[in-house]
Amino acid sequence: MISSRVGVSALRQGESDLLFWVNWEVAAGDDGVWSTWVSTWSLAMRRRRREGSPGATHVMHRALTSISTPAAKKPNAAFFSQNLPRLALGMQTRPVTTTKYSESDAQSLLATQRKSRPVSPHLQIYDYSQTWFGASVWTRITGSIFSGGLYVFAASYLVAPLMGWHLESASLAAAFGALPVAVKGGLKFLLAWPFTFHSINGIRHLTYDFAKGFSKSTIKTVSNAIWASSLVAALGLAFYW
Amino acid sequence: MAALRSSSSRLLAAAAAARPAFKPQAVFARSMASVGDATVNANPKGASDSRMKSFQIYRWNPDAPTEKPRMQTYTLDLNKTGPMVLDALVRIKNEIDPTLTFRRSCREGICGSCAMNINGTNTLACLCRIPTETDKEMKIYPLPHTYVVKDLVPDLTQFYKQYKSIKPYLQRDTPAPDGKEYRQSKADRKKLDGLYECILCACCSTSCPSYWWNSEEYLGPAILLQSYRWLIDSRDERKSERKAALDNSMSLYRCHTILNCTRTCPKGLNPGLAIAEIKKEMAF
Repeated sequence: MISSRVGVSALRQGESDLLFWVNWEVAAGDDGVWSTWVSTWSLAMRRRRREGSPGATHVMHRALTSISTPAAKKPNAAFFSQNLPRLALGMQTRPVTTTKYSESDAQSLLATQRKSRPVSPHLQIYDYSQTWFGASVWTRITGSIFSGGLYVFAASYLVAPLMGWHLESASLAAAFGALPVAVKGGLKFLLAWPFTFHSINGIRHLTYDFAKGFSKSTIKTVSNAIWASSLVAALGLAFYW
Repeated sequence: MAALRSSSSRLLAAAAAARPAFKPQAVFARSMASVGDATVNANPKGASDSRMKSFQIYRWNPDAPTEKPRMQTYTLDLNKTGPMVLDALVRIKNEIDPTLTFRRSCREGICGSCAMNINGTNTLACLCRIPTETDKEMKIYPLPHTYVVKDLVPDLTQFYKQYKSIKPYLQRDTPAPDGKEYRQSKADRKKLDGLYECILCACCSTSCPSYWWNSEEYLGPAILLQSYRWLIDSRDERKSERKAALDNSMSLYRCHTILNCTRTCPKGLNPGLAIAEIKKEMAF
């Protein structure tokens, strides 16, 4: 069994690649003894090759006959007598070749790998209810709407006389009063909701600063309460006030 | 273990359990339930009703760096797979695709190796049950906004460097009063509960949008929780130095209480609260 395996594999590998054997692992046997045997054997092979270089099959034949003779006093004798039944039952092998790198080679390989590494996906794949619809990001968005809006309005108010715009309170109120009720309410809601949401969530962030309200259940209920109450308050401000 | 068991050995086990009279212990032992019996009872219909579930898994191979990362779909029968996502991954690697790469070690939520993004949230694959509805696909990504070494393996070098930077060890100048050990009152020891359990799996840090954008300077929830663990330790004597190291705009204050960390922690800890406590200590 073993001889046929060894012979066939060696034929497949060819004479030049006898060191291939060093990379084989015997999962069922004693790795130490096996690798000792393998290295002695492959060394012997190389010596023979240098001396006369007979054909691969011939080398294999000589090697195997020397293994099978009981006169061998090498360490492999004990290994084979102990493990032959197990090996004959089916040698479990992992045909994996590994390469030995020097420290500097390994470092440069790591450096090149690091350059090409992709960044794993984040906003696209993370739970949308926590990122896109989280209370935190909407506090920031609503805050930006108001501060940005203030800057835009203040700047345009400043340049209005030069540009001939009418942004005085009286003309704005008159223009707004001429709109239909639904549009009035809608516009007011668009301003009211950011205001209510930002204010109520702002209070929650103040309580966070006292290290209060951090349990998972509280986070969930308070978040829902803030979304609901800000919407209700904004509707009230838009249509009833 | 179910994932490691091939279907043939499972059938053999079932057959063996069906013939209890041939087992010597069945003759001598009293009638107690055995594992074999339980398996048979749990699935009386046999393997005919297969429950196939698809798993979409992020793949990227460093040996082909020009290829874009892609999602690969694997389909498994849930009847032959263990209950946890890690069982499914191990089974895929063993039986379908040995090139699938992921970290795993303890399979019981204590080593933190198998942290990954499963169905949108970060968690440990070994603690995450596979949802039983078979019509929905599972999506598995590496931890978000990390450099990918291969498939589901993220590069956590920066994370570990940051951990090292907070000096995660007891710092003292005075020897123990009894010359033997540093004693602590029960109340002081209690302060460490909810902090010492952290296994540094990086689920919370990589769930934090603030950490995504500022991971060079912001320490992130996991490291800040560890930082608080040493700040609050009654035996440590470098409290002021530890606080001074955090007293800048980036290390600590990039936390905007988004609280993805607290929501995602697979160990049920509360990094958000720990950070709030640090901020409180810094303020008052």
